[in-house]
Amino acid sequence: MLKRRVLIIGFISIFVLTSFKGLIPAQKYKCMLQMNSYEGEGAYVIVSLINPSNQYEKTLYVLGKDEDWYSDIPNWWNYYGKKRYDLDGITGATLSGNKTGVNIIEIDDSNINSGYKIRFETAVEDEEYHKMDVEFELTTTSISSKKVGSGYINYVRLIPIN
Amino acid sequence: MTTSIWRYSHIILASTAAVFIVIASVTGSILAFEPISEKLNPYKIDGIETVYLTETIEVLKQNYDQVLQLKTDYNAFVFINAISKKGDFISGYINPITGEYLGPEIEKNNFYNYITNLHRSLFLKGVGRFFVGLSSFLLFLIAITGICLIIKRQGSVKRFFSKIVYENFSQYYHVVAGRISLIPIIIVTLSGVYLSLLRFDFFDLEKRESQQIITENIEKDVVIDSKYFPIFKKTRLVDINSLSFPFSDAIDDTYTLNLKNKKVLINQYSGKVVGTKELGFNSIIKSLNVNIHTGKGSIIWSIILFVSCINILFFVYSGFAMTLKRKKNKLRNSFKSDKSKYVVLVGSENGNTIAYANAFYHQLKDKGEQVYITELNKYKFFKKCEHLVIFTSTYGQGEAPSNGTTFLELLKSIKQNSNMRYSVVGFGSKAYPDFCKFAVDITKTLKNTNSTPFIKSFYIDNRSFILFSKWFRLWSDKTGIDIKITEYDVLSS
Repeated sequence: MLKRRVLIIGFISIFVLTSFKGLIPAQKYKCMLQMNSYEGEGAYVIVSLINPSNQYEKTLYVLGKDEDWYSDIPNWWNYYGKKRYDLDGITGATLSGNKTGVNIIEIDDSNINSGYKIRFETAVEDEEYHKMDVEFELTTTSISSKKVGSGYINYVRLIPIN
Repeated sequence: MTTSIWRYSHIILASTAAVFIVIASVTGSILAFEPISEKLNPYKIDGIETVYLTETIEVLKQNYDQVLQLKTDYNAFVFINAISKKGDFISGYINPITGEYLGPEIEKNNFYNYITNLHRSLFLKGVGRFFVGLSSFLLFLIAITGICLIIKRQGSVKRFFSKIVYENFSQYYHVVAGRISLIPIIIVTLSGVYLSLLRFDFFDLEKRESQQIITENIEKDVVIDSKYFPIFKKTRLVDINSLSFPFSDAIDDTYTLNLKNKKVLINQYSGKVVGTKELGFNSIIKSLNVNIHTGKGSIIWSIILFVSCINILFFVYSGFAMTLKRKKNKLRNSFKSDKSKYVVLVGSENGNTIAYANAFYHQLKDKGEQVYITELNKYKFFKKCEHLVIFTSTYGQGEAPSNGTTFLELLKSIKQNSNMRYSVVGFGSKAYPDFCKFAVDITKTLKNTNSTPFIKSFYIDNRSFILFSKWFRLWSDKTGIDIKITEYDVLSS
């Protein structure tokens, strides 16, 4: 009897939590990546949400669809590689030198102004890996400014969609 | 058997790269279907050739909240990244005339992904790419040496496409298929090598083409509706690669129009071109190569690529079959050369003539005669020889086959016993202008030696067995040795 009640409560709480999660207001952003003029293959770019304790919270976008190379992005792979959850809908093609790409990413409003950061990691097949090509804290003001990269990325721009 | 340099390189290259070549052509023949199945998608709109950018941009503005990018691919499918009126992100094909959404991006099928990986890197990432690139280059060299072999075989460049003599299945179709698919194979291997080199930064594409975009003064006050932008009005949709819409309202966020040969920046308010960048030769060559190698955008070319892949597999098979056959037709002796009364000399390129010589040799041996068989280039003084029997083919333009190249010189310089008599049997084809020319040359040279002819020289067209049996009967009658060779003896030797 007790077991059953626990189960029911469990189900209800899961239901409430998951449906509530859908209600957390999220904002879509246009995210522009302008690459530096490097040679060779397109760069893999991983866009992640980093929580205040500096851990990966969520993968926001992945440029590069060939999963064989994901392990060459070690920091993120340590986090993603264990679970390998679905990246459907948040992947795009790699970006090669001098190219500009615009993608849509979604960030919960609760992650703004609360110590969360957005991180752009980049790697090119058999070439360098930049574990923090661009990283900045998500605040109302920072989010729509232009951020210069330290690796393959020239700059990143975000802009909320209406 | 001594082999010509072209054949030697042809075979060595082929054996080295055979495994890679087989993998690449099996996977390649599968991949040829990818562009075909892609093109069969119902995303091509009739009349797209006459649609101008303005039209599509207007229709998109009405149907979507915001457009990020518009692309026209090599199949003339129009693709957009946009945000719908409901606020959803949309990435897929549209009808450029009505703006209607047609379907999602064609995801590369996992199966094709797997095969592509195997095709270009054997699942070995960078290292694999290197080996595949290298074998592609080897295949290119094989094709070139193959062309040289065909030219030699046919006698001249002009006769490259004239009739080929049928010797056996492998030989005949190796050459026939070779002539047809050499050109596509050269194209596909060269583009393959190019793509591999590209992977290893051989061409410095970016470095050479990183000249900055020339930006002109931006006019801030002029505001025109984008449907009146002259560049949008005069540019056809099929002539663009992509059009990126301004990232924000900021004046320095422009439209970026990627055409086949240049990149153009357009002020989002005035519609003026504020910057252009010509694409370098390398970038254009790159996309050309990708399309050539993959068959993207063309069903016919994809089919040609498929046929070439199948042909390559056939070449590997028939080539090795031929080589094995040549190996099989070895000359084996039971008697020493200086003890033999009969000496059989063979001049052969492909081993066909060896079959006749061997059949003759075995008959003599079975009759208990001391007989020695060797190739023309090993001609020397034969101490006890009374009968010299020469079987030879002719190669190319009346030249010696590869194991008889020095024979005429040897014939002039080596003096045999005066009781030695000779018989010459030439093999050839009247399809070639220099029918049995080498055998004729041998006969002529022999006339100037101290040896005497035993029976007149025979020249056999197209391996006619009737003519050959006529010859051995004549020889048999005159020597009194009863020789009976059947066609089966020749085929099985």
